[in-house]
Amino acid sequence: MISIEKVSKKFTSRGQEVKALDEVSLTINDGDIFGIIGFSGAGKSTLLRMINALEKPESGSVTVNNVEVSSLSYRALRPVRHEIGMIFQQFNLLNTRTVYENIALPCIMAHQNRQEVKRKVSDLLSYVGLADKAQSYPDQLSGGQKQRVGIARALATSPSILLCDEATSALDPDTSSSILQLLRKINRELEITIVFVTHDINVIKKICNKVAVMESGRVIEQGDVVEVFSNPQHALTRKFVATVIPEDIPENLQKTLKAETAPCSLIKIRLADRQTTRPLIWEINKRFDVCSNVLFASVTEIGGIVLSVMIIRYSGDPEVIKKVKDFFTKNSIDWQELTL
Amino acid sequence: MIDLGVPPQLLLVAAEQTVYMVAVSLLIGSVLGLVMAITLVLTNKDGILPNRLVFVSLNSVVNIIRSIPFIILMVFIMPLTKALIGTRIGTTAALVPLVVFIAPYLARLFENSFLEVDRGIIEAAQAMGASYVQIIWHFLLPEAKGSLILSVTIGTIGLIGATAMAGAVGGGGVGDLALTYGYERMNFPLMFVTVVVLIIFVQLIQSLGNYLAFRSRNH
Repeated sequence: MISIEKVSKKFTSRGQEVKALDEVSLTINDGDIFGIIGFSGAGKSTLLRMINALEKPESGSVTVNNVEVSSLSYRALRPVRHEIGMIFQQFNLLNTRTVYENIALPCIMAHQNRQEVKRKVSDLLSYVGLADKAQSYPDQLSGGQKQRVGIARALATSPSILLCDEATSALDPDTSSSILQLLRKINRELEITIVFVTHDINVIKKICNKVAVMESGRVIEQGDVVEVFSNPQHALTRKFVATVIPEDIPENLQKTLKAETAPCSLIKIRLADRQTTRPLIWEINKRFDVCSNVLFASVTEIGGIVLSVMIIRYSGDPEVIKKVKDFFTKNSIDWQELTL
Repeated sequence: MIDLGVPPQLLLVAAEQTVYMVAVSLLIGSVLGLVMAITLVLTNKDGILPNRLVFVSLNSVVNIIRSIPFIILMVFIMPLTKALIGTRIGTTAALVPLVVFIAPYLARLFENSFLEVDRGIIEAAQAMGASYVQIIWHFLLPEAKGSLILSVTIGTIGLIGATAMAGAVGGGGVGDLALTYGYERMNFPLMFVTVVVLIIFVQLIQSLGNYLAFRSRNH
């Protein structure tokens, strides 16, 4: 378990003090794939570096597996860091060493037996799908392959936590997906907790089960990915979520709707999980004398849970439309009325 | 065959003296330079062991020595030479000022080579739990190797230039030969031959350096 408590850190840039982290508290449980999202400069990478003590807090504490890493000396940190692997946006591989040597290095530095290192590295190479690249040099590999080497190197000391710093941001979408799949496999099969810092909401959507949203050194929203996605509270979170789950009526359609004068209500409903399989529109049409017209609908799967958003136009008697709204409320369906 | 006006043995002895002075001072100077460069890189404010006092002191020492012209440095440190070697003159005595001259020069060049190493690689090393010695040995040195070789090459060529002035303390060498027998006796053919010999030396060293640096960077 990783617990970050009231951590603050200031940086001075061009004579001005900037709060990189401002009393940030987070708890990351074993087995989580925890996403930290925010724009650049939000402090998310600094927060990630607190976990393996590459950065030390000015106040507050960081505890990893019951060890307070924020107060340890460099020497005392070394065994703790073997427990925490890290991968980077720019891979940070040694260009003068082969793939094999890059992956073996953490083991050699930990004074492991040569035979054992050899076996371990070849196991890791086949696990990440690079069994035939042992003798290649990093500059002979593609970006995705380099990141796989980075992952194998991070796993070489058999860590229980893997930190990912924008690990897919330098990769094309296809490669990025395959790296994310590999990380999910690592999380499930090797039971490694993953902390993933990113500015890409797609990463959160694809693999994370928990998310924290950061802005100017603060965590502004956190929780289960499904909860945060289905009901974002903060404007920035809404902005991020909107890029993967669009919730707008197309512009041309808006123009047409504005021109119409007949009484009607635009209602946005959000359905999650089991609610999505309920024949809701059919029920309403059967029960009430209204005309339903679906203007927009999207269905997304996040963390294994289906989330659907619909914008429906109800036209007819305002009294009846009010009853429809009451029906939503009674059935605890998340709804809101929209104005054009 | 052109008449050089000096016995051919004299040329050979001079070449030997140059090679001796360059080789020994390069070896000692490289080791000292490496130690200084590593200290500078580690203790610099963005380094992994920031220490303002150590950095500023060492940095100033390097700057001060680097600002003294070699011919003056040579005379200036004569008491040190006497204390270390037992004499102020001769080829071996010239080694002391040569080392004092080349070590800070190489330190500066090596420092730049180390600073070229991607900061991310050092961060990866720290994240892996590497000790300071391991970071230097497994990360800094191998990644800077190509650039370090080129730095040594530049340093060697600088040293050959400096040995020409070693004549001032009776150091001998090819440059001294050109000055005393060539320039002062207006022996033009001798000057010409020594210059050609020096050009060949420098060309060979530069080509060798380039080749080794290329090999360490490409597989």
